[in-house]
Amino acid sequence: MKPKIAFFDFASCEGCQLALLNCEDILLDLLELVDLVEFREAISEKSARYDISFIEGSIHREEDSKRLLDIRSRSQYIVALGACACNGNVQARSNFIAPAENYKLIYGEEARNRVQVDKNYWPLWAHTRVRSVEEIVKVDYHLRGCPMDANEFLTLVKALLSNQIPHFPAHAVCVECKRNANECVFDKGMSCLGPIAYGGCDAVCINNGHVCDACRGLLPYANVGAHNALMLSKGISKEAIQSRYRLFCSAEKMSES
Amino acid sequence: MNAYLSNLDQIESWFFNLAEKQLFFLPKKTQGVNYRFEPIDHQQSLDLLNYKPTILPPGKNIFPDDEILFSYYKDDDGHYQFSQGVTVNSQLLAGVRACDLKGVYLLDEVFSDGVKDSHYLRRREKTDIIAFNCMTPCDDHCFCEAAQSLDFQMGADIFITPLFSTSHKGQANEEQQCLLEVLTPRGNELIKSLESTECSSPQDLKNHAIASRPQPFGRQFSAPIEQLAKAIHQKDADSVYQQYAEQCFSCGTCNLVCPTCYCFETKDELNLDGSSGKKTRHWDACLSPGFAEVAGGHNFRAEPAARQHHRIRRKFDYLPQRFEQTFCTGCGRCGRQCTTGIDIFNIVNDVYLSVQESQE
Ligand code: SF4
Ligand code: SF4
Ligand code: SF4
Ligand code: SF4
Ligand code: SF4
Repeated sequence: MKPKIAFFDFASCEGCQLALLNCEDILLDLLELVDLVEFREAISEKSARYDISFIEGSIHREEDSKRLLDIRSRSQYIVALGACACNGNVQARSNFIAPAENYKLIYGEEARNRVQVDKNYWPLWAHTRVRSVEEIVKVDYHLRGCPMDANEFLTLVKALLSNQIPHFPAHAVCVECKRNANECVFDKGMSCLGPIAYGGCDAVCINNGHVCDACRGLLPYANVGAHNALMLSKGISKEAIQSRYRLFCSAEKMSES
Repeated sequence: MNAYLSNLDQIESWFFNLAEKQLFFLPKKTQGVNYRFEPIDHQQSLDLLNYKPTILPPGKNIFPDDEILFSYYKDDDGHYQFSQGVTVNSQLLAGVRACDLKGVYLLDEVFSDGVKDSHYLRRREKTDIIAFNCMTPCDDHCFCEAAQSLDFQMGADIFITPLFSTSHKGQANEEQQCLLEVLTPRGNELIKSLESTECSSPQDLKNHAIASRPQPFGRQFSAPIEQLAKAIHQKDADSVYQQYAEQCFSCGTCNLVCPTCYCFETKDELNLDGSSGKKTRHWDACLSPGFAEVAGGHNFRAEPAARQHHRIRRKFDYLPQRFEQTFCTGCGRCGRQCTTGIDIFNIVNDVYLSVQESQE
């Protein structure tokens, strides 16, 4: 029997699903091998059990976390798809701002005041804290990045379909910079989060003349103290450094300090 | 073998000529402050006197990342058919510094030791090297003299030594005489297209040029390398490794840029059809946390200090025991490119000093 695969959406821009749809060339071959039982609105048929569930998006409300627990209980493998699911992504910045303040920042003062008194707006307060998927359920595999990397997606699916353990090494982005013979951006007077960030993206931002902002999340062994000292030594202010860590990694424990 | 005299101007035109006939790599300036071995382009100023060690050492052209070791498919009878790697083209690496030449020489030793590594060796077989000696230390990071790789010339087909002061940074000109020592039959072929005159007393000229270099040349350790190696062998000096580990990102850059690091991991890449695929190899790094992790999850060197210790012993103790050469060429790359500023030169010195202290 073909393995049953499902995609579930939480808070995200759906860019990861788009990134996937963009690799049409492999997608058709892939669809021959699996049974796609749930892909948002695309397919309505519901299946009670899934072999691989891809979770896209970060978890904000209690009802979301309940839904996630339900998916977990019906899935053999849970795969967190993309930066929102893996590390909270940019929306987790709001974890550091009081909800009312956040609301004001986005919609203005008037809307903030209305949300306090108008019942129809109250569900907006249900949002508590932006969490990664792993904060709520056990995650078997992470497909990191904003957006996720189609090659890694393929590696994962091929491995699972052939009963192998997919291998995503937990190394820094610097490793991939070396593989591409990149000049380190610190040598160009810029600064970089690559030394503490999960690689796997082939250092795509540096290859294209940018810096790394750790969209794939901080490594479990990230030496944030040493990185902080390095950034300070380049004349970057404490606030700017913190804001940089919080860009993609606010839901991570390391950036709470 | 023979020696010839020519000038820098002629050598540059010779390089451009050679590059028309084959794949030819030479250090080229990046947009920032570094250099990279790249195919020569005609607009480029060659900078032969000034360039410092490239981001990656030239040996990586013989030991590339993501190399296909073999690929396979299942034929109609259900048998697996294998084919080895990809076609290897001949290449010429020019402007290789002595430190990097020693790096290639050490890779040659390692990959021909015991079971021969055919993948490396067939690329090496097709690689010609024109080395270019240094007359001034390339920058503040180098310690090639202390690491005994300055003037190293084994493995080159032609070894070029400038016979003039290289401290001024002008254009190449005719006054700039160079000595070219031809060390192999291939070198003999290559030199035919250079305008040059035969030299009858190469050793005197070379000795004279070498004697006029700055002394000491580059950074020097607190003690001769043999004594450092002994100290590293004798004592664990845990506190020194720990001190460096505290600043370390475990990013592996220091390994990946090193001309003597040869560790790799292999990867099986299966195609979607489930019956064809390839085996590839990728550079690995012993400073990476997963390097010594084995099946079942045990990690023999889970702590960064243990990994740094291991690295130092590989360069100065374990491999020298096996190959009778220090496996650090003093090229300075690791210190130059470590974002947090950890420099193997300092680690080794500190280990030596701490062992000295503990013996007093
Ligand atoms: S540019 Fe960033 S990721 Fe690349 S080597 Fe430098 S610090 Fe590491
Ligand atoms: S280089 Fe950094 S920011 Fe860019 S994709 Fe990779 S992890 Fe994300
Ligand atoms: S390059 Fe520096 S930070 Fe990275 S592993 Fe080596 S010593 Fe540590
Ligand atoms: S250990 Fe560092 S200085 Fe020594 S050869 Fe390797 S990169 Fe060069
Ligand atoms: S380390 Fe020594 S041999 Fe190597 S480039 Fe610098 S000066 Fe030349």
